[in-house]
Amino acid sequence: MPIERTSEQRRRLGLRSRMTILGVAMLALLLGAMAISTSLRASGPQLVGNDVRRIDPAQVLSARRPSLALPLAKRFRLKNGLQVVVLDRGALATIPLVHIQVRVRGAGDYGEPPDLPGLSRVTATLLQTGQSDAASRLSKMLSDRAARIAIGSDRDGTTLSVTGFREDARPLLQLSASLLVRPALQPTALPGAIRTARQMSEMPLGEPPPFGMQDVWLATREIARAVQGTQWALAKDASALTEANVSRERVLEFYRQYFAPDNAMVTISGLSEGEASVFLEETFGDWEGHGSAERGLAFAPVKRDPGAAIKVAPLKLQGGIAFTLVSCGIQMPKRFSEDHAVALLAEKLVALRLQQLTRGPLGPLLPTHGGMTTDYVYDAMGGIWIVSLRLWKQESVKMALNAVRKEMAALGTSPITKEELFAAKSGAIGALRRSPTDAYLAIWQYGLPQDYFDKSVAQIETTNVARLQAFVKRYWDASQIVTVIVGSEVDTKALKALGG
Amino acid sequence: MKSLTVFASVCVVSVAVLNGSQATDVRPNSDLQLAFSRHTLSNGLRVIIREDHSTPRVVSALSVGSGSRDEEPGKSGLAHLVEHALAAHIMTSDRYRNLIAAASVGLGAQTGKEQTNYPLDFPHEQIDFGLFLQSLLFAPVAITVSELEIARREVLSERAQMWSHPNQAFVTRLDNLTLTGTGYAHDALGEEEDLKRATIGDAVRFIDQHYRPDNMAVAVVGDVSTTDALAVLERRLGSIKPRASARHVDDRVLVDRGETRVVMRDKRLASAMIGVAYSAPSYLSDDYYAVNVLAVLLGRRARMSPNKLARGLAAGDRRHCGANMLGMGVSAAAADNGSVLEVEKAVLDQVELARTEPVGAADLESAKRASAMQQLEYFETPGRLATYLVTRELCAGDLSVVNTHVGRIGAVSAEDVMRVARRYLVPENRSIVVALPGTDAPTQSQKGGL
Repeated sequence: MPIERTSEQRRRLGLRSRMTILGVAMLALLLGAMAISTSLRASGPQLVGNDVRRIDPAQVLSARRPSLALPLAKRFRLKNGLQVVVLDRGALATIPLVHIQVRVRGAGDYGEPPDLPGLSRVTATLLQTGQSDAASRLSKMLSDRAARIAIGSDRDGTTLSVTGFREDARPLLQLSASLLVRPALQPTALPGAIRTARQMSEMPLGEPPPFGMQDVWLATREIARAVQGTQWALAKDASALTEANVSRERVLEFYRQYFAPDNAMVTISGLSEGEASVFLEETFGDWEGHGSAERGLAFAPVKRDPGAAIKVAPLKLQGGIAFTLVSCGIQMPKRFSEDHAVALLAEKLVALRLQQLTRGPLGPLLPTHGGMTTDYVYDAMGGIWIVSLRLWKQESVKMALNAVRKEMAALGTSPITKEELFAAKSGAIGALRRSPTDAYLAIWQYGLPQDYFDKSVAQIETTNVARLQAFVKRYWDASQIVTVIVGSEVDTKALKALGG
Repeated sequence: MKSLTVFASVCVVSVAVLNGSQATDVRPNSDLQLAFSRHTLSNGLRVIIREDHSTPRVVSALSVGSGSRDEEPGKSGLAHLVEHALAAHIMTSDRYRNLIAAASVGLGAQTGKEQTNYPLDFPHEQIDFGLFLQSLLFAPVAITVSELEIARREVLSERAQMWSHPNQAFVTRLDNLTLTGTGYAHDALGEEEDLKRATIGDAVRFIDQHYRPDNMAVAVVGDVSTTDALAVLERRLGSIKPRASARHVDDRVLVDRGETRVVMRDKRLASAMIGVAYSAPSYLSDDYYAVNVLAVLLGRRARMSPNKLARGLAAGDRRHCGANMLGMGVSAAAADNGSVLEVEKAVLDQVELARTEPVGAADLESAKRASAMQQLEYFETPGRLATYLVTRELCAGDLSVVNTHVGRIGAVSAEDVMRVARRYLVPENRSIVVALPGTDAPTQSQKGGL
């Protein structure tokens, strides 16, 4: 790929070369001065090579933004309405693996009846159990073929994912179709499916996790619990209410509402268009019915419980490690709304500033890897902005929390430099699309225009500091922040008084 | 690949029965034909380039062929300290921070026992900037005291975190015990006292000794043209000057050195843990492929273990250029001594079965497929592939294995698996670590029993 440069960049490059020559000459003079500072620098041998630290890094940076062009793919639709995207594998074509995803829109948390929370997870588990006598055979077949099949639901859909050898594509598609199109939904399997769907919430806090399980898993659950009942909750757990109201008929009703070929999309990587077409007609061609992606839950702002500014979850962690997750949740605009692109930009800007904190006062308090993360979790119904901290010194929580709050508050008023804005825009554009399949799925699932990504890029590019600060003032209401602290009871006891 | 082909037919029948339709006739591909090219820059730095235009990004994995095994006595953790110190002058500098974000560059660095890797991930239009950042790692201005102190603080923190987690501490002890007598017998995080004593002179000497073009390689994978990438590589990394030879420690694996066993108490544990591991040959050995298949089979045995007291069984292998090990880890559901003994016996029974029970054709083929699948998924990710290529280049200087790995796994026979099981899964080659909850010293009966 040729590297294109503008005339300005070429001029700068020329200037840089001259500057480098000058820099080399200056270097000899500076050596004496450097020797004086040996008490501050290495006493060992010096490295040899170009003095690249003298190069202005801004001159090397390309002004071009990453492309968001849709990845190469073939698209078609089966006679029954099933949408198909066959991704071009490019240089990976010789790797004999196939990846298949079947997405059913609407069959997620938002599509559940109010009296059956977690029904989508129960249904996904039942589907994966398969035909009446096939559970053990299914398991053996997948093991024999070194293939994986998983069915899971999220906020607004259910996804079946398959990975296996390309030579197994046809049988794996047959298997996928048998699970999705002709499910047994065995009544006898229902109690087990409910147990599975409740498993996450039922593991007692005092129980040490099994070998190899990370504490972070349990901590994440506590974050999820803190926002349970809001539209940004993580995958909903089934509850006693579900157990009381669920029946095979209700599961079937849910299944019939969403699981239909005209409400599903298949993405395949690892097959040719011809192979995909033949195999899919054979396996999913007799799928009938009409589905609906209508959601049962209307988006409504959720006001925080006034007493819930700080939630402390005592958790028996392995060895009582000081471990804390602080999730500051602020309600943000939903995806595809007018403000969404600006929200992405704001999140990136905060991430940049918080990174700065990790190199300053918070540095010694955070683990070296992954100590602080920020995320803007969003979908078509709403969004939440989260900052998570993992601290290994529990006594640092108060300091860390105050530093984060201060930084967040300052964003609405403190100056934003041109460099910061440029960097945040790059990050926001990069975050618009997370994977090749995500692009096609998003356009299909939410009925977006084909140029959605291009328009979003333009929106981000044209956002100025004033617009960004106005956004911050509008959305980042400190009274809406929920902070969740997870740690051992002894460690977290003193933190309950932190206040909002 | 004949055996895999036979297996495909077997599977096809089973699926046809399941779904009542005809089976596929596609055959596994043993020759991947993954295209890449090898080059050498003017200063001797080895380069591997793989064009993959299916992604708009590029990964440049730069690796130094030295790690913790190359540390001298009393200098443990130095390779890791150097890695952090070199990264510190990029990561902690306001000069680069916003630009790195603007370029959407992902910076990484890892120190292992054999190599230190600096992978970088960036959009293809930022290749010059990305390689410029990598060249900063080798800038002539020596590490400053403040950079070293930042690095020291980070590595001590990382070390404390690792040892504060009983699971990780347990696995590290097992690793180190299994590789006793080699340069691999200590982990990259090092000893606290050694890290506190390390001077800037130590760091610079280590860099000078090991960060040399002929002890380094870079693999560039992604949306690049080979010609353009080579030009940028030469400009950015070709000027690092060659220096004196690196010193590598003796990395021969000691097998048959007698069983080693450690019983430890850990007050942080709620239940006991048992780890059993066996020294095994490196991935350059002809036995490696059979050992790899054996590791998959052991993992399945572990999962199928009928002992109700065992939970969370896991098995796998550690792969190094100069050493390897096969290991099984298990936590016991109860903390009492009787349960621990019972679980240990169950684990050893499974190992014994692996040594004595012939492997069935179907089990063998599915294990081979699982092993091949693991490798192929690795190759699908540009970052992992780049690391694999550069690691192999530094270790063996031979990349033909990239395209033959799956075929060699396919050629492993049941006899091969039995042979390596009998050769390596022997008590003289075994290390066992038992961790019990509590602070008291083990009782005599526990010592005897364990």
